[in-house]
Amino acid sequence: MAKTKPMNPAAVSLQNVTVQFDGNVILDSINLTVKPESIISIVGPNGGGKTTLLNTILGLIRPLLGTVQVFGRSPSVTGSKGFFGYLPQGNHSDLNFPVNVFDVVAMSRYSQKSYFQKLNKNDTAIIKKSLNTIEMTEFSHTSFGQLSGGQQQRVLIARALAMEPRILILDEPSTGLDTVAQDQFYCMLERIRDEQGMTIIMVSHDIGAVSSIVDQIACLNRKIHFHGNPRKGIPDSALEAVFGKNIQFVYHDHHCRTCEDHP
Amino acid sequence: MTSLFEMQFFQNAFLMSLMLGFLFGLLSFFVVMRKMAFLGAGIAHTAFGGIAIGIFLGIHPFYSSLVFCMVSALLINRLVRYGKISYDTGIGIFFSFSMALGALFIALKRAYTFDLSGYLFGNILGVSDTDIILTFIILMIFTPFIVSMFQKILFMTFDEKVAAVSGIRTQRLDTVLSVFLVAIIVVSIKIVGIILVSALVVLPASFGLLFFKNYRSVMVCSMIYTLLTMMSGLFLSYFLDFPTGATMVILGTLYYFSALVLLRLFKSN
Repeated sequence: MAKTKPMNPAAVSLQNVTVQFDGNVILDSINLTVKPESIISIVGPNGGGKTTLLNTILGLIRPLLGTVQVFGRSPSVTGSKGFFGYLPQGNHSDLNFPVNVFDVVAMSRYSQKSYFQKLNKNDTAIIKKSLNTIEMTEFSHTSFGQLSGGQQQRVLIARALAMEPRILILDEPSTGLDTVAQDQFYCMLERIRDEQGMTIIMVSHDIGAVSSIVDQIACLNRKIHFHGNPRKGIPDSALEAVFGKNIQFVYHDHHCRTCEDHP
Repeated sequence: MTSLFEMQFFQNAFLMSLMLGFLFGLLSFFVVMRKMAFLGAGIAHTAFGGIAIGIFLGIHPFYSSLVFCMVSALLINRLVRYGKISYDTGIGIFFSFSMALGALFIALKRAYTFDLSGYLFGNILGVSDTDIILTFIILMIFTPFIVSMFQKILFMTFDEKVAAVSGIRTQRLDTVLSVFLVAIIVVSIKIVGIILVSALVVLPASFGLLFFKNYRSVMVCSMIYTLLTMMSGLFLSYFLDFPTGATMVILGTLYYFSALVLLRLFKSN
């Protein structure tokens, strides 16, 4: 009998994943499928397990139970092959670290090089393209420590993009951005998905802000209480299970010139 | 001056200072930027335990301290990674334990005349041909390692978690870097001493960071500074008959603070 090869595997697939720290269950029987070239936002309260879930997908945490697959393979394999572009929560970089913006983005390209290999023309073009995507080209030679928090965040996203990853993983990417900058940032993510065919997984506190741009939303508070298209409506019971009662959501409608300029 | 270089001990000390100046100039940047300065001090003090064990067992103190320090550095690394304690705490535990162990073994070897001062503060006469060869071997292995892995170590130093996700084997790289740190510190103990060697780990990059905001310039400046400090310290200590390690460290510290004051004055004008 001929073996059937799975067609177009999910970008990320978690089946019955349970993660424990010191006997405490952080993630409980998580089932989650992320389609390729889509944007999914994981929302939930502080301590709900959002960052743990990202770390599990990245292969930094091994689940106690269940399986994690990234494009049909184990994260430990995909992680070492540059499948992921990653922006961690908060920027803990030393502001006195003597590097400029170009150097920071170039780190991604060097991580894929062998011994003694230097950057070639293609690498330089990718670095410039990544800086252009996040509109930081003019700051290429500026010291990283001299940038504002929001600008540093954009440079770190450019570093993730310069990996040319298949999956972009962003942990609280809009932290430190004002409302206008947040809108521009979400438009930029839509552009990256559409133009570069990337799968984007991001963690966010703000369900209202992300609902209009994401393809899927996963409401997480130890368990996944909802997983689907937020524009088709999220059941009140799921929202209450994740965020508690007496909450109000303000849904944003993102329209920015940048998006209109990039149809 | 010519007669100075005709003396074997001075030739050895000169060659040793030259090689160590280059090695510490390179290494210091990564140690300082990774905030592992205390590890340098910790390893140097841990060497005391290794030296004492070597003397007690009749092994050459270099080899015993090299093995002892490497095991300690690796254990500190493991303790920090899996024991959920900070580097400072891990180093603090090994630091005092090794010094106590050293004191115990020296006390047990009652009949032995131990050049404690030489090990603690360095002794220019103690640099042998074997030390030169060992330092040269370290130089020949360390330099290509740093050159070939430079950008990966830089990424790991800047952001270890993202470097790991990007496919860099950070744990392995961290271990190799710690092994080199140990080897360089242990070979330098002869000339600079246990107490003073940590200054050579910290000062070079700190000096370079005063002047530059680009890592390439910081590293070149660190190397020039270390070579200048070690060479001037060596010659001055010879002509004034001062202890070499102490002279080097005092001069290095003076250069650092002079540069700091001059920069402040220059900026305020």
